[in-house]
Amino acid sequence: MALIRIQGVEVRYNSVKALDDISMDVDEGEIVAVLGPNGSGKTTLLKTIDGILKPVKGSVYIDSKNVLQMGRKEAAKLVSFVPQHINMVQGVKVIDFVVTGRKPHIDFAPTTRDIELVLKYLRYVDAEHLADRDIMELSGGEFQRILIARALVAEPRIILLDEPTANLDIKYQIAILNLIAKLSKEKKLTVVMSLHDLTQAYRYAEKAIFLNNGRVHAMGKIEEVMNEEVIEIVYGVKAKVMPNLRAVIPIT
Amino acid sequence: MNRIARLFKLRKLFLTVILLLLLLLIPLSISIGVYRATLLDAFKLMLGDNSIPVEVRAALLLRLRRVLASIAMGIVLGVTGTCMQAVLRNPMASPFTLGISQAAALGVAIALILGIAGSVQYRVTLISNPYILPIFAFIFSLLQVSLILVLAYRAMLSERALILAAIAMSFLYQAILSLVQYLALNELQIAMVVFWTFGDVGRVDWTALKMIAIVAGVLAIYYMIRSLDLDLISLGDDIAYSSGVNPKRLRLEATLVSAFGVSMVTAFAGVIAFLCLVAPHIARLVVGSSHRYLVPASMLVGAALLLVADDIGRTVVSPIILPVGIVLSFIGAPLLLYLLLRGGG
Ligand SMILES: Nc1ncnc2c1ncn2[C@@H]1O[C@H](COP(=O)(O)OP(=O)(O)O)[C@@H](O)[C@H]1O
Ligand SMILES: [Mg+2]
Repeated sequence: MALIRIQGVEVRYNSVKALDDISMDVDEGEIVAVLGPNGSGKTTLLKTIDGILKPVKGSVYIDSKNVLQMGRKEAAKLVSFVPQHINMVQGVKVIDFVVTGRKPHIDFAPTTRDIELVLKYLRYVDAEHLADRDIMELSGGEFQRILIARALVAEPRIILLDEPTANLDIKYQIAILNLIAKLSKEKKLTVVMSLHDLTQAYRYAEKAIFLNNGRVHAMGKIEEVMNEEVIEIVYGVKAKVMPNLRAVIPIT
Repeated sequence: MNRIARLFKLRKLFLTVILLLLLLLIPLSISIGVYRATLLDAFKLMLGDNSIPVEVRAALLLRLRRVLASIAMGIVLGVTGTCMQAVLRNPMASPFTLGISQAAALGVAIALILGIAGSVQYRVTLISNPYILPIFAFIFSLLQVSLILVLAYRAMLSERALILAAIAMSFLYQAILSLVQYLALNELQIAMVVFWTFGDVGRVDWTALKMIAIVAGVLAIYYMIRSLDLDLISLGDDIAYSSGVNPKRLRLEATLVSAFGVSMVTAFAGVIAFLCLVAPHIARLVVGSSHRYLVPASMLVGAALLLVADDIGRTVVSPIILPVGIVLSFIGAPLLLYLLLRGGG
């Protein structure tokens, strides 16, 4: 069975239906892009996969187990969620922040091994030199790398990223996406991420799901679903898809 | 990495320094007062040396009780402030600024009025049943706690709005107290109730001290165990839940524990203004915001600050002893104003 199986999921915020009848399979090691305009349900889908939001209908299975029925600790060991925003507190050092990601493995207090792992993953995202920096004093790109390191220290099998390239300049966007690609390849990590940039989705994802008003409009191999018709219906924008360049350009 | 090892060492060093300062403050605080004792006398008393004269010994023992009470209550107030700031993600939060202390004080006043009916022998009531006052304080503080949680998470009040709403509630509690005083009480009772709205550590007797010390110990252990969870909840509910910490449960649990600790302090010493807001901020400046260090630091800073404030209260217009609550208001009020103006960032 697929590592992540989403089956007929419906999620509501009180009376607002945010996801409607979503089904999707993700295999181990795959990179999946969640696409769609603002408010289409991308963040909601990621949170539902992690069990943060509870569907009113349908279920999410991780490694054949219902995510809501496994303990939170067990779920946290399998899945790491990288949110778009966190509440920033002054006086929190990068090392303090990243070590919170070890929580599912820590009983009382972080051990030396936990700290060593934190440093290892900081090195992995090329941010070891930032370890004793205050998290309020980082650039956007640095902070995004720290967020990813925090997700990695739990040594999960799945990482969910909510718009990891938002607010970054092009250089950092590419750096982050390359990092994610490297993770998927080297660590066989399964990646589900929401993205705004279709070209980036085209280049980095193997699979895509297009959401529109909480429903799946198209889903499948990136080469198959990334077409002009889908983009026009989902985003209401005419675009040119260039398979030879793996790029999508909006035409106005 | 060396720099990280150094960072952790430095934090531990800071903690040790505050601890040493606190330990130094104990004999110093015992020695100062109307009757001037020497530091040596204070040390002798602490070591149980019987060579000091009996009447001096009695006076110093009273001071020792006062000092220990300050430390125990400072621990409780410092750590509950830190806890409330984390679980509400609000740097202006604390049992005092959230009106929990004031609600507890109203509970105490009502217990006193109901329990003693025309007598002012409250110490007799206290000794016959020392649990009544904290129980009343706790029940009333729970009303305020539920209100705060509803305002913050159902009505989604912003940080500042929540503090202002809580201050409004404090005024309401004051108003109820005033009404009761105006309608129902005689002068002696009024004096006693007013007394309770200014925190004073001198009121804590040995029984109360034992109870507060136990509570301080329990809270210290509880918050140390929860320190990583407090780190997580201060980052956000989603991220906490994703890492295996249930934020709603933690918020409720930690707030209840805080309310319990503060009720205990308020029941025996009255409302001690601002300490629970100030201590966490000073501790944060010293060791940063990682709760593994912030929790012990805010306990130590709370204890040291309350001790110093009480020493000031005992000496500044000696021989009159000012309640420590009044002394602390002079330090705390400007700080709250500063935080409100800065927008709590
Ligand atoms: N906490 C919330 N309360 C109520 N409605 C929400 C909440 N979060 C999201 N929504 C609604 O759910 C829908 C999907 O939102 P979201 O998943 O955040 O979309 P996206 O991430 O694609 O921008 C939107 O219509 C949004 O307004
Ligand atoms: Mg979103």
